[in-house]
Amino acid sequence: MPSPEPRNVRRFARRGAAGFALLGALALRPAAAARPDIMPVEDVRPGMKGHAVTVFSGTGTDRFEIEVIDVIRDYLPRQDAILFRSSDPRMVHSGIVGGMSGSPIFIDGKLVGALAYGYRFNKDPIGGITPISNMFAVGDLPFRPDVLPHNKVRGIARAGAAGWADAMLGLDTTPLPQRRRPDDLTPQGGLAPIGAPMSVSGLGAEATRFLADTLGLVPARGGSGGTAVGDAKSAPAKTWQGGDSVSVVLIRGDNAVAPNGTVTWVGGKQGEKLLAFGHEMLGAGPSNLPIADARVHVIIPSVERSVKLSSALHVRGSMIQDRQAAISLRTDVSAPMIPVTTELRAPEPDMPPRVYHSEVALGVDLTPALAASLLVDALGEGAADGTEVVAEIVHQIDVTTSKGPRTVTVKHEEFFPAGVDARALGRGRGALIMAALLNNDFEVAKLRGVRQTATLRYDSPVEILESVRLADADVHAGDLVTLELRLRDYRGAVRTETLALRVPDDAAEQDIQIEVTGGDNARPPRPMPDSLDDLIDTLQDTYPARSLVATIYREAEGLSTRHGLLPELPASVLESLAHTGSTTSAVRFKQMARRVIPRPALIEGEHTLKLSVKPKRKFAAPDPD
Amino acid sequence: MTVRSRMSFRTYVPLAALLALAPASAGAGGTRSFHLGDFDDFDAGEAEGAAIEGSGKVTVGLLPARGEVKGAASVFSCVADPKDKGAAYLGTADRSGVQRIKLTTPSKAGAAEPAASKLAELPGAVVSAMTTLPGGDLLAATLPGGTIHRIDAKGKVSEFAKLQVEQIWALVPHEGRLYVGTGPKGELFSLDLNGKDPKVVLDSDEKDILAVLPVGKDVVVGTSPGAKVLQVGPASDGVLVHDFAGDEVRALALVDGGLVAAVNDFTDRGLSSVQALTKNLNRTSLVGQPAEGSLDATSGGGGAQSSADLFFVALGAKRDLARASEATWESWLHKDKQYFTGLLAGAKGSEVLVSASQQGKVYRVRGRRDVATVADLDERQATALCRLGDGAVLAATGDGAGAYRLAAAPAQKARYRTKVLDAKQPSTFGAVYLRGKGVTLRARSGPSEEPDKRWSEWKPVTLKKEGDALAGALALPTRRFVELEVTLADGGELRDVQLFYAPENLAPLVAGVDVARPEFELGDDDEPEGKLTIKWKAEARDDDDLVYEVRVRPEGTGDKEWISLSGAEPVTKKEYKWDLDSVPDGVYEAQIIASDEPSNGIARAARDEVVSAPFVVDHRRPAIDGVKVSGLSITGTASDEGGQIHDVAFSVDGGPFRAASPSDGLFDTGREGFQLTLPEPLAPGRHRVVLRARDAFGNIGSHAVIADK
Repeated sequence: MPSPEPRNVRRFARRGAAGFALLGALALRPAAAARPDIMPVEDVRPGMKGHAVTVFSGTGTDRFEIEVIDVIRDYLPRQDAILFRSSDPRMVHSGIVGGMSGSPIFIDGKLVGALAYGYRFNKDPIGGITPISNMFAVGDLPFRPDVLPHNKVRGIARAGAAGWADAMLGLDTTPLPQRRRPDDLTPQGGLAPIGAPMSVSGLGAEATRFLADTLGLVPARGGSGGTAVGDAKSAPAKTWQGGDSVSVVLIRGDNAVAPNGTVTWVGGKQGEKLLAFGHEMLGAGPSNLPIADARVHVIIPSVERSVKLSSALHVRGSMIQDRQAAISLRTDVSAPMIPVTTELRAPEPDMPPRVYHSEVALGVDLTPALAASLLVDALGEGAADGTEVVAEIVHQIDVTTSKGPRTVTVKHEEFFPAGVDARALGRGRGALIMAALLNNDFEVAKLRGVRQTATLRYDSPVEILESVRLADADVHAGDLVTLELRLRDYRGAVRTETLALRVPDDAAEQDIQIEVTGGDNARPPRPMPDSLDDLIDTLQDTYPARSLVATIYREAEGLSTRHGLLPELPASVLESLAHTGSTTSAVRFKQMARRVIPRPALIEGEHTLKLSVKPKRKFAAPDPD
Repeated sequence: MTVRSRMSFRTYVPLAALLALAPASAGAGGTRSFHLGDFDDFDAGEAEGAAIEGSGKVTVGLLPARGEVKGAASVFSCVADPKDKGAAYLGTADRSGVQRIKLTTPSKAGAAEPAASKLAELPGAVVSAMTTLPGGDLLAATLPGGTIHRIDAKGKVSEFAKLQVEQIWALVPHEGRLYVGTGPKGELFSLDLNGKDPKVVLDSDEKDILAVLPVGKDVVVGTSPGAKVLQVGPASDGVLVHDFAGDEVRALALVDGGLVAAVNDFTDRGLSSVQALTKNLNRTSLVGQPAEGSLDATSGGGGAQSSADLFFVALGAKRDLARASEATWESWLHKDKQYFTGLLAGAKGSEVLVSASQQGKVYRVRGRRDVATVADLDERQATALCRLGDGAVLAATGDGAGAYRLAAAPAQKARYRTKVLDAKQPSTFGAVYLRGKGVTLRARSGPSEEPDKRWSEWKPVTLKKEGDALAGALALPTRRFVELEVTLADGGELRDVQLFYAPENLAPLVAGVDVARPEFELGDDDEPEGKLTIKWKAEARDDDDLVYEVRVRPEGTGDKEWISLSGAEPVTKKEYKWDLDSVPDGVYEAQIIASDEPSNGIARAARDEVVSAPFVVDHRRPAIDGVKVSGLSITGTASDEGGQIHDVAFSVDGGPFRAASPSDGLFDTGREGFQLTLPEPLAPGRHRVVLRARDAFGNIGSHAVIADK
């Protein structure tokens, strides 16, 4: 086994690599090490004493003393951590506090780094510091306005378009990050990022939980905000300084969601560059999310993890980088937010419709999740009934594609036997379509606004398709065959209805497959999309939820191409166009003849019959009626 | 191609026709051979500048001139440019478009191929049919939809006509009208040459009108899926000319003396893939990419499950279509595992060119026995044929877009490469005999069906005249697959190839030996024939003929004690009956030795041997003693030294034997008590009772007693 390299050799090697690779850029910055107001991690020794700056209450900063315990080399890849202990009585009482992430720590008047790590269930106020040199490396990274923030993929969801497509088709993978409880967020023991407590106001427990599950941030309900989160234009000028409380604004308006932490360092000619947190927030890398100054109401001590209860005040810039060692903020850049209107028409006739006006931050995974959380909240507030409810959700999404502005309208209806499962609806078609608009193989749609309406009714309009029976003994080509459908109302009577289907004239001596199902369970055949607008057309093209779809599948095949659907092709043409020697272009599918019959209720169930078709009758078949 | 046993080439050739009927079998010393001798044998390989003639001869042919087609996956249709003799319009697939190309002579080696230029982009996935108007403008129909586009020489596109159909398959001007074959309602339209006045002149029961061919004042059409030829004209509205067994009449052509139809027959696809393909369709409609994973989205599993036939019917000098419905349609060409895509009447006589789906082949057919491969294009499919203004033929290709002017110039030399020949086992390749002239040969061998970097380099083979053949010897690595390449000089020809090889000999496998005692029934009164039956299971694994030697020895003795039962004459059946008359009692073992010597010769023969479980040879008869008679009850003991007692029976006064019962309930040891009571009614008085004990080997011992009643 080779002996470890001497420490100084390794560090020299790091510096040499810094100019050549991105990882190098994230390593120590020589300039930082040389600055007189900075103490490099190499100079930190156990027993050194210093202080941290943070906001305990209100907006003014305060300090508490610390003592260095030790330096942990390579705690993270190319990143050391400095362990400290605080003897401040407030810290002894509360331990390391969520929201203190980023609090600058000074030794001998020199900035060492940011308070960033702690232990869950700690008995002593022992924390970890991210060296400022690593944070500077993040601060050196540019603002990329063309990049839409994209969270790290979590859970088992597949990345990109495959993820939402899987969900839309009901395949066995989840579209959105796997649900995670905050308790699960730090499965490992030991030193871990404190995290940014997500200050939540104007949202109920269910929506809060939904957001926590989706974003992986620990929620702290109780902060105010909402409409109080104003714009910088309407606020007095703010001069940022290390130790200030800072929030990233994800939602504002009638609801507010803003993860909170502390500013570590302020730089730039105008004080427009800020570094904060000392660790990542969502780990999105290049970002563009609004930031606001914040007021701390109180520190809520907790055995597990104390948190600051805070409210965002005024949007004052943008988070432009979200990386392992820090988040990088700019006060001279503004981040877009899109308006989301959520309307709830409750099942109780006496409850007036409620309308919520909010703005949400823009991000590939973020925007669908944030808009969905607002819907979840509305449903949670207005439909907390544990009885049979049918929910009709309509999404109108204003987008601009390369072909111009358009509004995507999708309607979805679902029955809940024991009250609305708001979180299930939150992960429903509207969120998936937003995900598709932002994350597809063609272009990123510009979202201009979302209107989402949930209409709930006490009703159980569901028919369960129990069986399908072919009434005729023999099936001949060209026959109008009668299917007997055994339908049962939800908690109701069973009845039999008939459905007539025409067997194709040219199906003689072939097998056919008849499939009967509900409109929600089938998709109109559509060609491969060649543009985002094609994709939007496909996303909008659905069968009514209250319909019965009867399909006859044939042995013969058609082709789906980027330039149209070729549903019926002679065999030799099909073979010529569906190349065996390439993976491009055409995709085969079974020819189908389909009947869509409107129904008064939603259909549950799917039944399939396979039949052998006899030659056409020489004499007309008897009328099925 | 046939694989056959060895004999001398001179002997073999006259007997070729006879031997071709013989099944492949192992020859002497394990030597086998590949033989290529007829059109189908040679047509399975690839040719470059070579013509494969129907008589089973490869000759130096004509080199096609290739033109490059960019920006499309396939060319699906073509039509000559009426204003430029060497030029044609190409209708593309994957993205509908029309390109124009001019092809004259082959480009010089190393020079860039002439490229097609884009004339127009059209909506849709494929240009399914094209024709030109008298003024020179081009008409192109696209899928999906029923739009016919008009394109002028500058590429300006306008709508010529829009029919209420999903597909247009044929555009044919005739008698001042434009005939349009469509789907999926099987309608034939007629329009004026301005795209106006559309009329349905045929509303057939079929789905698609794929081919439209003017014959005199009438037109005949080819349909799908009924594979019918229908006649349409002033006096005939869809008269059935012929109904083929198959799925489609893809193309029709009129030649001197008759009508030719290209008929394809596809195997039904079944419904097992409905769910997977529907899921795939839905997925691709959302993400634009087929599903990942192992889903077989082709459902056909690669390669069409089809066969194709070219049929001819004589129409007589007056081209009387009525004869076509009465006369016999004779098959001029049949091909399995492919389908035909286009037909073009030859410049003279009854010659017709056929484009095929496999290996980019174009066949020239002049009659039932006159078939030749005139082009073997680089792309996988030949999709369409059209005649240029200067009389040359242009072939378009799919699955790799390209266009070829056929027979552009005589080839100075030609190459013919056999298909990869499979010896089934790693083999030593030996002598090769060619019949022909002006040929050179090289060969390579490898371990895979598709040549790759594991294959050997091409190795030249020196050929010497030997009798009427050219003989050479291959020196290739021992591999399972081999490929030969013959280069033909100007005037050269290749008529016959025979390659000898010896597969590595796989040892036979003897799976097990069973030794069956002499068989007898419970009711048998006599001892069975004294023979043991030794049976075994064995397989050659490489089709070799096997022989066996059967040996026995007393159990526990050494190898020197084996005694061969079969002697000098080997056993060929998997069974041997061993006569035990002279064999002493004891426990023995049998050994089976299998050898593939008949197929491989004594030096190369491989053996396998298996020894049986020990078995008993027992001649000794059981004894009956201790017999006590008490009234009508008799008890006693039967014992056998060689094995267990099988049964005890008795006979009263010479009557039939009846079974006695074992005292302990079962006969399972070599010493068994038995008991019996003489059955009633029994006359009073003295009776002679014969007791009989039989052991498991069938040996019988008896004892007589007197019983009084």
